[in-house]
Amino acid sequence: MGVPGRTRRRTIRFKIFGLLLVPVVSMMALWAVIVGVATRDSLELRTYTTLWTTLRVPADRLAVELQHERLTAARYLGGQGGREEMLAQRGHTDRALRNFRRLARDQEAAGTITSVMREDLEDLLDRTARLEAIRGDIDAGLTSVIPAMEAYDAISDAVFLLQRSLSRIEEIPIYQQTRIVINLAYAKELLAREQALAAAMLRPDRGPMPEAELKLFTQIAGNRRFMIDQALAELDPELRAYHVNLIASPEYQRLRLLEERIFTNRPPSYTEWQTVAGRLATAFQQAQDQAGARLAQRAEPVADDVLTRALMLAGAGLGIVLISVLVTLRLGARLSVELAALRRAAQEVAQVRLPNVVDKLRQGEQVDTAAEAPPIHTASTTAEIQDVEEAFSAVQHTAIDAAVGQARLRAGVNQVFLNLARRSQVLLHRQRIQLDEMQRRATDPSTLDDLFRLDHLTTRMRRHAEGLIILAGELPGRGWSKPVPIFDVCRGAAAEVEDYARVTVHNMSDHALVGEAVGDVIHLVAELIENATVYSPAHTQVHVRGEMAANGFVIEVEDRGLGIPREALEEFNDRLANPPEFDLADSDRLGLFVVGRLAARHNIRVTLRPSPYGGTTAIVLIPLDLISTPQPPDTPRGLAQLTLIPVDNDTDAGEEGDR
Amino acid sequence: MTHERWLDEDAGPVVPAYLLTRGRTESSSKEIDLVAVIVTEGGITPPAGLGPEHLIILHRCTRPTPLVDVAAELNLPIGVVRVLVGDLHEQGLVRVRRPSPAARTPSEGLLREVINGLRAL
Repeated sequence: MGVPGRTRRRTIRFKIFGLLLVPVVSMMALWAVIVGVATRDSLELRTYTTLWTTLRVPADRLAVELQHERLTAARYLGGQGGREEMLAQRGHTDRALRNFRRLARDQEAAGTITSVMREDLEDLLDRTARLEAIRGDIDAGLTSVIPAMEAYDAISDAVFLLQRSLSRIEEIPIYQQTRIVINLAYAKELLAREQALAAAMLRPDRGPMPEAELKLFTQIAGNRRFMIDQALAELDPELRAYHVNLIASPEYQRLRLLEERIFTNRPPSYTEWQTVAGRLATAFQQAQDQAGARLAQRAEPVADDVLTRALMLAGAGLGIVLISVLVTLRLGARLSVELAALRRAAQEVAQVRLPNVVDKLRQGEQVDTAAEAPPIHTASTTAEIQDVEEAFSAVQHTAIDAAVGQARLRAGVNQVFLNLARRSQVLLHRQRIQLDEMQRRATDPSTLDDLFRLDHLTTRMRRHAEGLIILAGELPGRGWSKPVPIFDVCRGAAAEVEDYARVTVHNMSDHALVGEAVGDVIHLVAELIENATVYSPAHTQVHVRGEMAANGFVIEVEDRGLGIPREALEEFNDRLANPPEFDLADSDRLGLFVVGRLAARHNIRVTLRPSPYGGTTAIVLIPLDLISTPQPPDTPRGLAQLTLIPVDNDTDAGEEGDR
Repeated sequence: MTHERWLDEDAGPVVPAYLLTRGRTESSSKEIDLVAVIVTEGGITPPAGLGPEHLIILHRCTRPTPLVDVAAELNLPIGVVRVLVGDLHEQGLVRVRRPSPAARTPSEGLLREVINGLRAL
């Protein structure tokens, strides 16, 4: 059922799955994103731990070495000597720096470094490059304490900047505490700066403290105190514990006192200061290390936690996606199964049930609408499908009702025609009997001629009435119980034709036709003869011959007309072999239709073929079971029989003269 | 619905009378009238193409038979039999005789002579 322009035919199953594909794919994508984010969080925490141990700790180590180098440099510049110590420290610093560089490159290669971190890292490495220049200046005596310290401070600041960027993590509590711990580390850095300044200020000669250094010292000490106070307030109890001991210690109080003395220009001895500050710096560094290690430990379980959560989320998400895919597929499959059942039911109605009913009606059978059109039911639970089922049931019911009504109407019309035909047949029959009697009484040839014309007209009218009865599917009223010679059958047929004088019925063998077929065969042959006379010129003869053949008795009706074109002939033969349903619109071929129907009724084969004379020959093959074997006739028909009779007319011949 | 059925004889002849003569009503010979006696010519062989009715007549009339008897035998109107016998007569297959004219009605010639004689008076 190809409809042009509608080449893409998709099944409903295909479309349903297409419909489901979009949400399913979206769900999968959503699931992937959620799982990705969760996993990334976990990975980030792991990265934090990694960076903390691999980079932050060495950076801190570097900061400590720088602090030491700054201190030794300050001592040297401040005239406290210790040049060897300073040079040795430079070696330590360089080692720490090399170590840090190597680890940083490793991490860069491992891809754990973000772009922000890289910026800070590059900045730090840039600044460390200036270390040699600073050292050169110091060795050459081109610099004083404060510029040298500021040069070192710049590098230290970069280290702390990098530490801060390394601490970036989305786990906010850890991030906060990390920042505070780094702030405390910076506070320790400030303490180290104080130490360095003090080394320059507290000279062994106990000279007056330089103005600029003192001012800077006061400022740094204030900052350090502020930072420590603020940081301790924000640290959580566990991390605070490492530092509180430190702040609450008598050492720290002594440091503050010593600082106070420096502020008020009553400086302690460098040795005293250095002992207290150095010890504190070491303790500070220890607290720092402990707090840092603790933070890295803390991130570990959080990372595990996040990973577990991510995995659970992934599992649950996958489960939900799978369940929804399964449910949708099931629903879709069920819907398409229901639709397929509906389609089958509808196709059955269209291709089996309705044609069956129409066939039954054509054959005149009674049709019970309820039995022939049971309501369509496909066990569907979908409201729309049920509605379609009901609609189809109604359509089916209506169609069958309409067909039954049509058939009834046709049967009624049929009956009317049949009644009329029968009535005229009865009247015509009486008229023929009347005419027959009149013919017997007539002595005048002209009267007889008139009666013959009337008889002929009546016979033709009777034929038409019988044709109508045959079309109505009934048997004509005339019947014979005894076999009738086929020769007489053919002559009777010829007599029913308008132009009967043009018909020559040639003598045939004595075979007879069984009584019940006589009426129909007369009618059949009459139709063929009628066709032959109508479709041949008026001056030509139509010949009717008959003889026995192997398969039955053959009657040939041959005309001398122009013939029928081959295609038309084939079509006629086809119609004769398979008589179509009677079509009221096709009344031109009524004769052919009647022939086909009569032939089918008695299993007679009728074929048309071109005649050697240019016209058409109709061949009627009457099957053997309709032919009765010729009885020895009580009335002589054959020539031999006649000649065998002794001729004794001479004895009578003398009596009367033959003029 | 009831309808009439006509069986065998009631159905009427299979071959109507007019077909036997092809509609002709005039006999080829004037002398074949009701009282004519038909006799088949001796020693003839009926030509092919004669209908069964013709053959019946030839067979029946091997003995001289009046036309009415032939008609009764064939169960056909006299007018039709006259045409059929006329056909046979034309082909020289039958002779038509008159029943002895002397014994019955005077001949046309005699009546004519009587009329002429009366006129001459």
